[in-house]
Amino acid sequence: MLSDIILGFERAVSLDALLFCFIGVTIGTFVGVLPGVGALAAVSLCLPLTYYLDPTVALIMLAGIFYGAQYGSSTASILLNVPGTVTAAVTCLDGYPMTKQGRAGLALFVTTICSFVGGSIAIVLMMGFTPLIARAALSFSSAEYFMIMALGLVVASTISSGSQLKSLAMVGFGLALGLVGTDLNSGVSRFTFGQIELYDGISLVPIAMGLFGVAEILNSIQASGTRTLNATGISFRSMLPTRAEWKSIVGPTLRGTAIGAGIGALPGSGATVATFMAYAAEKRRSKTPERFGKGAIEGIAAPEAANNSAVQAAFVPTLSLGIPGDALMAFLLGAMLIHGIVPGPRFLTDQPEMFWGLVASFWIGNVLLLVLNIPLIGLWVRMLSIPYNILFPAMLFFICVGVYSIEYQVFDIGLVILFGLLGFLMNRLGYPPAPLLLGFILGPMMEEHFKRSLLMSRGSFSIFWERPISAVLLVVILLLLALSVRTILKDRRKPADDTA
Amino acid sequence: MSDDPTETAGPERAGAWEYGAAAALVLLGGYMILEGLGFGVGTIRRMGPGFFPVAVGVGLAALAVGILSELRRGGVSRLNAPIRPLLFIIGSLVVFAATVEPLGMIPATILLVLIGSFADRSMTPLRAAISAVALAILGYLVFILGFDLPLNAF
Repeated sequence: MLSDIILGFERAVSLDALLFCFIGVTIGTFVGVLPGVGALAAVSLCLPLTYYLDPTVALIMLAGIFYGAQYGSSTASILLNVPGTVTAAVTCLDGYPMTKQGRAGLALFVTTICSFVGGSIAIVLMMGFTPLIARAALSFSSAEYFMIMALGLVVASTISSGSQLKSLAMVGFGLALGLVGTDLNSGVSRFTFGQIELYDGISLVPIAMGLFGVAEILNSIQASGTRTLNATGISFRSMLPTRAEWKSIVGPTLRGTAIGAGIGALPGSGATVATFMAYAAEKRRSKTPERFGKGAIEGIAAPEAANNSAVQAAFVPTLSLGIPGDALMAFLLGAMLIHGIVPGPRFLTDQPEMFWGLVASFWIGNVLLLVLNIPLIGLWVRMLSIPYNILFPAMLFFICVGVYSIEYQVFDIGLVILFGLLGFLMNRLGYPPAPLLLGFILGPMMEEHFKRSLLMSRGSFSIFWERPISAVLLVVILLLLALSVRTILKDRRKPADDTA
Repeated sequence: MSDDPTETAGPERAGAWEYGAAAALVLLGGYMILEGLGFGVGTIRRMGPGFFPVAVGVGLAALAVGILSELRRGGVSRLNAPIRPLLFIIGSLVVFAATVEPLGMIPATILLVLIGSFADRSMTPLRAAISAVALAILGYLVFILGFDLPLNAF
């Protein structure tokens, strides 16, 4: 193991890896800071550019955008009461009151430190657990894989807020989109409408850019009204916590990290859920819960530790099983496949340099982020005053050139337009886009594993409950679905005043 | 995803868009079942290419019927579509798609940014022109000189 770690660091400190790690976390912080530009949109914008890079370096950079965005996302929450990305929504609750009390510097410092601690601990856990799970997974058959993916989809759609039926329907829609293209087993082309461009299936990037890029622009132009930036006088001095404040954040940070790591590693539940749970847990534990929502320092420490820890932990199932936990990881998995890397139990043994290099780059990236976010915080704060009407034309440009440069097909830009409109409508009508992306990416793999399972069992469905791990997963899925049906029926009986 | 429409959904009566979306999902499910049956479902032991489409179609249609009945309790009554951003953003993308091959990347970029910028009401012509030229130059430097992509500048 030690030799693996050394191998990883050797790869990660090479000049190209360092450079692209730095570029990745800087872009990540940038998009994290700016409301209206999400991590998923940023990664899909950068994906075409990484085609020309070494796969390890490409992965290091794309991963850097993910966890970098978690650092930056708290800045706008604290200063503007607008989350930079969804995962920082909870940080608004206590971060913005702190700004109004003139404690913005302290809040920014605490969120960065907690992010760092949460991220670092989760990386250690990831280094320990990924090889273990990968080893265990070597004995998994298609039945287990199918069940884990199904669990991921069910979890992803049942724990989101809003209508569970709509989330589940979006999973179905995603699965449907994943079916488009030539069926590998039979050679039959399905749902291609005679379009040659669709024979290989719909590409991932146009879908992600449409649903998360164009739709985000359409929604943000309206939302971005006047922002009042209240960030005068953030000196380094004002950022440092007092001894009592240091003491009060230790517990919340560690508990937030634990919640984040647990939730993040589960298939289907991502960083957003982890932050809400961490906040709720702190509030419940607190002797003075009335301070929450009025600038309680614990209320920013726990969720910030949780979201960074969750993002790092989410790499565990993605890399060890090849099963992404949420839409972001699903996208990263898609990016790995495009680079010809197949994540899964064999990934660690076949390409140790890539895995350990990636892990080592997480350490380097987190240290870089600490530097980017504490001494240079003033720079990012100034970024917040960039008007949105400078930003979104640039995003449009990167979306267009990015999508077009994948295969030089105007058809792909057409797909972006289509999915942009679709994403806009979905957003307005309360259909979440993340389960769609998850279904789209997992769908083809699930079909394959489902067919293989039944081929193995000679057509008997009992394979899904005769193997112990598969049986446990099946029970969990059925329990979750039963719970969800109960919620739906209970909602139905209630008067229609609180549907959300 | 800054505004969450479910928050305002509340007791409002679901409007035509809500019903339309759910109905479209029912139709999509039905279409998948029909097409899937055409591909050949096969047997459980040796599934044909139509098996999964039919399964997904059944699930989708069932869920969509569930959504339809859920809508009786309320939903989004009006779409409140931002006409101006929709028109300019989508328009700019269409223009880029139409011009990138015949005219090349630089003219297509300039048109894209010029049109797209006006999605925002407070945009001034000068600002849009500066953005357009700056992004076209940036694109040329990064994508054509930097990454050496086989794009035609003109």
